[in-house]
Amino acid sequence: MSQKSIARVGRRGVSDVSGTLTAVISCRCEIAPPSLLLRVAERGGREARDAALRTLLTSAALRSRRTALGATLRRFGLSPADLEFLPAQAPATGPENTVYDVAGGGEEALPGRRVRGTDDPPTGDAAVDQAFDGAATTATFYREVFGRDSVDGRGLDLVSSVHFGRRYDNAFWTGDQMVYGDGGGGVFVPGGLTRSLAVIAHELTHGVTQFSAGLAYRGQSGALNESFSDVFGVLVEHRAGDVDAASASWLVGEGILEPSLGGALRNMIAPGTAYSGDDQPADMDAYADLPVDDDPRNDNGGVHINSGIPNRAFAEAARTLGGRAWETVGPVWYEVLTGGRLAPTADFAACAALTVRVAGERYGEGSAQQDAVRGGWEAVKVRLPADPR
Amino acid sequence: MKVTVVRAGGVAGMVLTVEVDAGELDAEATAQLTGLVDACEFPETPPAATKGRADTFDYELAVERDDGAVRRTRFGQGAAPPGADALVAWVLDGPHGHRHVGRW
Repeated sequence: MSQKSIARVGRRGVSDVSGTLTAVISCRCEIAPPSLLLRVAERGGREARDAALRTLLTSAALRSRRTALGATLRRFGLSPADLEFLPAQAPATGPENTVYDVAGGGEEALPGRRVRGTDDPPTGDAAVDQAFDGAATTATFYREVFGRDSVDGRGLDLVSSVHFGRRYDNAFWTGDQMVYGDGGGGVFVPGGLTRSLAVIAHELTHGVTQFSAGLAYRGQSGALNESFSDVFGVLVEHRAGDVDAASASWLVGEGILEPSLGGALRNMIAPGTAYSGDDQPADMDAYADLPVDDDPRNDNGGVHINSGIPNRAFAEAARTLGGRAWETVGPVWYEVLTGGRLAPTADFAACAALTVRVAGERYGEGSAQQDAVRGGWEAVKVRLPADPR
Repeated sequence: MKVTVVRAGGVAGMVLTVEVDAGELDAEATAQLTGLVDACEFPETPPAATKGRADTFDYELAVERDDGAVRRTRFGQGAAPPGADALVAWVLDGPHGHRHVGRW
């Protein structure tokens, strides 16, 4: 089923659909078991398919608040963004926070066995409890600092799966949930990925970006996508530890790499110095102009490489102002990411100009905050519109 | 025969290159490697189902035969051609590879 098709169903509603089978499905979800609905969705005619899928998604959303939808959505090539027609969840209660154990399985095994829910006590499994706590801390950050209700702004349930793969040295956001490996494959220390609040918040922020600016994951827009995740990953960590911008290390993922590699994944204030082999540029003079192709070395046009440039612009601005970065420059970056003015294919210059504009709107033209933002981008040699003063 | 795996991306954004030279292996390991290579497909255009997904891995797998012939395939996490996952895991996770972190 195409995204266009599901959108059409969403607008029209189930009750308009004709046909005996469709009528049975549409009269109420509860009488048709999910297995039957899935069969209809896969094998039925177009209208029956539409009705069955809408019924499946709606009933699942109401019953489990979208927690269990990931596998169903992937089956049809959809993401939670395709469910915009569903009612938002109640902000007052916050999102459900659920952790699953995938027990060494791969993507086909996601999400795995449910091991901890919102109101459950700690399990004693460090990965489970760290993933739970990190997701909760990140959601609290977005709610209390920016008034955002979960990743999508509409209460999307937080779903995390731990113990992914064997010695899997990575964490990622699938489009609808978090996934963590155990590390120990030569890059991350065992247990390091869930131990880092910055990593958890980085990945959840990929979800925030997915549901807001939707920055394309290639070239400069992809580097901005990565940078926003680093920025808010670090800010979540700063707020949790009440870290001052002037004295912060500005390291992302500190202490979770194998010590022989280095001390952190990225250094936002001094890009290119985080680990042995770190090739992030510190400014546009060293920008890595890489093609967007299928060579993994080219990193989708340098998304993890050139992100060092906007990372440093943020860190320089925050350090200039000092204090709590999540209350000074953070709100500017958040408005830029979520305010609807940053294009999915935005480049560094467009993002920089927008941050300066938003800083002026928020703090006043010529304010110390706007000057700090401008100074951050000037430090990394991103071209800005002329200062009118 | 040399087998090289390049893995890039992930939350770290690192490029990890691991090379296994069959000439350095004992007979048992050589047989394992040969079996895995023979079972691996190298399509010219593999599916790229996960391309563009934030922080997943991208891979390049290359096999250089003793006569100099090279077979190569590239794919995203979750979209490996038949046999490639097992060969990549053997190279990356086993004790036989020469490892290098860095883009070049």
